[in-house]
Amino acid sequence: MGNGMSKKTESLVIGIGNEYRGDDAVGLYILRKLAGLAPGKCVLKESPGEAVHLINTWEGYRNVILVDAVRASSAAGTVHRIDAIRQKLPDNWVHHSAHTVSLPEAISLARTLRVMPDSLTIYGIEGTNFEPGSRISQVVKKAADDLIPEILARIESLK
Amino acid sequence: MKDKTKLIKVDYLTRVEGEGGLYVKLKGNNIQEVRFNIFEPPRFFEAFLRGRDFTEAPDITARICGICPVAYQMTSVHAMEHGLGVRVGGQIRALRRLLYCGEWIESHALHVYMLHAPDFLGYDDAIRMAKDHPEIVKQGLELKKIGNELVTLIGGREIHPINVKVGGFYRTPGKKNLEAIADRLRWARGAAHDMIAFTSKLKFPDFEQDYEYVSLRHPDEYPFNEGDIVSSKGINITAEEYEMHFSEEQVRHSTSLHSVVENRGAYSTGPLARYNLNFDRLYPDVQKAAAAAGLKESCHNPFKSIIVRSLETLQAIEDALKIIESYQQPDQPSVEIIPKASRGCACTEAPRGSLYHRYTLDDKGIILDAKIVPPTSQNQKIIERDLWHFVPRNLKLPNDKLTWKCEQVIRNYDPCISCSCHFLKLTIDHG
Repeated sequence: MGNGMSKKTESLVIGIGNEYRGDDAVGLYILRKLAGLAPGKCVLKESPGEAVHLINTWEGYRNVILVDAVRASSAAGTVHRIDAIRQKLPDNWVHHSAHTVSLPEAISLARTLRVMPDSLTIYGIEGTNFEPGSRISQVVKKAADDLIPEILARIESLK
Repeated sequence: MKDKTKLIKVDYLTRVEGEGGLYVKLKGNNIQEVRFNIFEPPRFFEAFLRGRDFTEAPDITARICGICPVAYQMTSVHAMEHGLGVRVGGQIRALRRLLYCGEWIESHALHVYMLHAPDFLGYDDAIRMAKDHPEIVKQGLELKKIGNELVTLIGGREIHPINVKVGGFYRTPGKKNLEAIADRLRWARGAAHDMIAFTSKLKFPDFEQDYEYVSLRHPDEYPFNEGDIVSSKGINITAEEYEMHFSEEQVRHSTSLHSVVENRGAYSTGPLARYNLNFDRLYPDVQKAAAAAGLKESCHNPFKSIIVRSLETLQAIEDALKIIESYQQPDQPSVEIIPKASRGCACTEAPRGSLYHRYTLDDKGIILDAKIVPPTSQNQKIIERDLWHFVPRNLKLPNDKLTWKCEQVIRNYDPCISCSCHFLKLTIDHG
């Protein structure tokens, strides 16, 4: 693994989700919006949220932004912001991945192996509907649209 | 004295690809009930495919699983091509095989190092294992990364590759593009030898089983995309005949269907099946590595599937290097496809077992009907059978240890529950 290598200065935005699982797709939805709004300003990558994939994806990047759907017993559309370098993921935060070795494990494993980026900002959007075949709910889509300017500002601030 | 009833219950199995559950009910030393629960959405993808154009199938089915999208893509394109009477050969065929090598490397590395090894070393998970064995875990991560790089190179993207189409690819890589990854694969070859040495030294319970094994068998190659479907009890058929020999049963405790061999019942698919039915198709160096790891030409202990996965990782790396060495970029990235009313089937070898697809198209290429049988659905019955055999031999274990051991029995199969179902939950009931 790339310990000791100089890290890439451009920001990496990872969108986690499954296209066909309702609000689970919100990370991918935001990623696609950013592709049109922030061309060349950052690197955009999709992930199914599996831990090793996440670590291998952010390896070598200094600044990483991660967007994902979560269930944390808040109202649908609520945006949770976590500075994963300084803060622990809340215990009630259920990362909604079909793969159980996922985001919280990725962070724990990356800390153990010392392969965390310098900054890792997580935006978790509270979802309400994760049924296979369903589309992103309107309330979650609106929250995602409202969040995009904040993510763009975050990308700018990391330059 | 009345026998005490005991219940083993695990609501959410960890370290399986997806979520599911297990319920085992014991009365004294006798098992009363074993239920490997899978909560499957009602065959969502099969319904979702109806009415879609045949060209959409590779991209839609790739979304069924984040770990084995290539298996779904490959099976769908082969099934379509079978129905449409198209045969893809030469370098396009070689590239498909190379793409599959990438998926096997990344999927096996994930399972061996992150999901299965902690069981044998007594850790709750790979994070705790990484504290004591960081170099082993880092090696696993690097191997997985190389598999992903190979998938990205051929498939255009590591997750849900976008470069695969019915008839071939949208574009093909140049020779130099492939040569660039050869050095990484040569490093991976050494890492795979380390992986085999590491897994062969693990302690395995004595648990030899008598299964009917089912896998593809190809005249010349260890099976990925092509071959006849064979079994250790005499099945030797084409994919077209699959549904005449295998069927799916509804069981009350699971929304996933249980696959059975007609008139016989449970069977095993995956690394052990492939190894036992195709040992002679492994490269000589891989056969040698198997002997050095203490394996004979057949292996009937599902716990040792971790060694077989390591051997298959080496096989995929050797295959990838061989394909890259002889690769010449084809003039056309795909062959022409003309839709017609058809029915096509295919079976390929996903990392965790045989995957079957069948599609019916109308004359414009619209999908009228789709059937998808993932490997985990096929292995569900054999997993339950293993538990029936395993639990009575381990009744002296305390409940928490027995529960953990039962989880290991399930993890032997690297079940991708997200392929076959939605959420998996595990319960051992002693009363």
